[in-house]
Amino acid sequence: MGLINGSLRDVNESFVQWQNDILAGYGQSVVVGHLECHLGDAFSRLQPLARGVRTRSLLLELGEWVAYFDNSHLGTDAAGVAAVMATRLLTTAIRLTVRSNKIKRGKGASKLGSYGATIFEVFEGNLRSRRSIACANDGGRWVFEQHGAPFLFEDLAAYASKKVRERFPPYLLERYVHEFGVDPFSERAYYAKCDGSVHGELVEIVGDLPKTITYVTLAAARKALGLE
Amino acid sequence: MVSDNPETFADLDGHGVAPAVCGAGGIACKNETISSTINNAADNHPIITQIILGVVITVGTEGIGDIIDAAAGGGELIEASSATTTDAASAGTSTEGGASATGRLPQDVSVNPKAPDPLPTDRPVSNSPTQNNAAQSEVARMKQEGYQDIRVNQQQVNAARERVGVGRPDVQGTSPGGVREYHEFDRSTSTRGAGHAARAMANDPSGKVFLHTVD
Repeated sequence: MGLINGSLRDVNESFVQWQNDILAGYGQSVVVGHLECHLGDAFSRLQPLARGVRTRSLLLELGEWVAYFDNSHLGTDAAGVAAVMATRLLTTAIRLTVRSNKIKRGKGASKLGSYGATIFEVFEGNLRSRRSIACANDGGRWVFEQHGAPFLFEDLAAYASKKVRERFPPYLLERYVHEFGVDPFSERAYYAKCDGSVHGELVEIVGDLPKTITYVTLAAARKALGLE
Repeated sequence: MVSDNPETFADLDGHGVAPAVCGAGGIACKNETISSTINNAADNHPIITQIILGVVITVGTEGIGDIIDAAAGGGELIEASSATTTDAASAGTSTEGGASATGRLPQDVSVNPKAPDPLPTDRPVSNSPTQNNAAQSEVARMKQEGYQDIRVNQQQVNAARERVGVGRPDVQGTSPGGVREYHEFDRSTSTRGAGHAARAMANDPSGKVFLHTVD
C-alpha cells in the first residue's frame, strides 16, 4: 500500500490530473467515484483484480494522510505512485509492503504461495527515496537492503541480525510508520470522521485498455498467493 | 540523429549485432525492407529515436546501422546510444549455451513463475556511477510516466507479473499501455548487451528491449 501526506481532496486532484496526463497518450482516461461506505465495501470496489497493469485505484482518507491501494492481483504496487505524489505535492509519501513468506522450495514445490517481503520506502518531495529498507525473499534468496540516512527512530541493531530474514520484521515496519503519525493497520483509523463510513475516491481507468489484461476474482488471487 | 530517409539506412543484411543475437537467442535474421513504418516511431520515449515493431534496430549517433527480424525470437530490440556510436558488430559476443527451440535457456524455462515483490529501485546495476545514474534516470522517467512494477537488477518479470527468467535486466517496468520494457546499460566496449537482449526477448516475446550505451 501507499501513504501520502495530504488531504483527500488535494491528493485525489493531483493523482487524477497526473493519470489523465499520462494516460491520454494511450487512449485512456480515468473516471472518479466518491465513496462513503464501510471499509470492506470500499475494498470490494477494487474488484475484479487485474492481471497486468492496474485498472482501479482506491484513495482512502486516513487522518492527515491518504492511503493508496490498487487492484493488482498480486497486491498493490505503490512505489511509483508514492514517489510521484511526493514530488507533485512536495510532501511525504510512504510505500509499504508486508507479505508473508508462503513459498515452498525444493522438489514438488508449489507454484502457489508468495515470497515474503517487508519493505519501507519514504519519499520526501522527490522521485528518489529519502530512505528505503527492504528485507525480502527475492525469488529464492533472502536479501536485506537499505539506502539513505536512517531516521533517528530506527532500530539499527535489528539490521545486524544473523539471519537475513529477521533483519526487518513487520512489527518494526509498523513501529516506523507510527512515527509518522499514521496507523494504516488499524481499521478504526479509517473511520476518523465518526460518521460510520470511510471516505475515499475510486479512480478507474477507462478507454483503450491493454488487451493483455485479464481479471481474476479475489478468491482466486488469494489462493494463488497461498492465503487460503 | 537518425534520418527518416530510408535511403540512409545502412547494412540491411542484418550484419553487426545480428549474428550475436541470432546465435544467442535463436532469433532468425533476414533482409528487411524498410517502409513507411519507420515513421511510426517513438512510443514517447525520449531516448529512442525509431521503433519498428518486429524489427530490431540498432541506433547510434551516426544513424541506424543494422536491422534484423526479431519476430522469430519475439520481442523488440532497440539499441540507443547516448554517448557514442554503438558498434553493433563488436557487441554480443556472449554465447548462451543450451538454449531451447524457443531460444530460452533451461534455467529460464524451469523458473517458478511466481514473482517476488519489486525491491526499492535505488539499487545499483553496476560499479560504474555513470551506468547507475543512467539507470536511475530511466527509473525516474518510468515513475513519472506511470509505469508499474518497476524493478532494478531483479529477475525478469513480464507484464503479467510472472517471472519468466532468472536473468536480471538493469531496469524493467510496464507502461500504462501494458508493454513490458527491459533496459540494459553498458559501456561501448561491453560485449554483453546483445546476448542479454536476446535472452530477455526469448523469455518475453511481447516485451521491448532497449540497449543503452553509456561511457
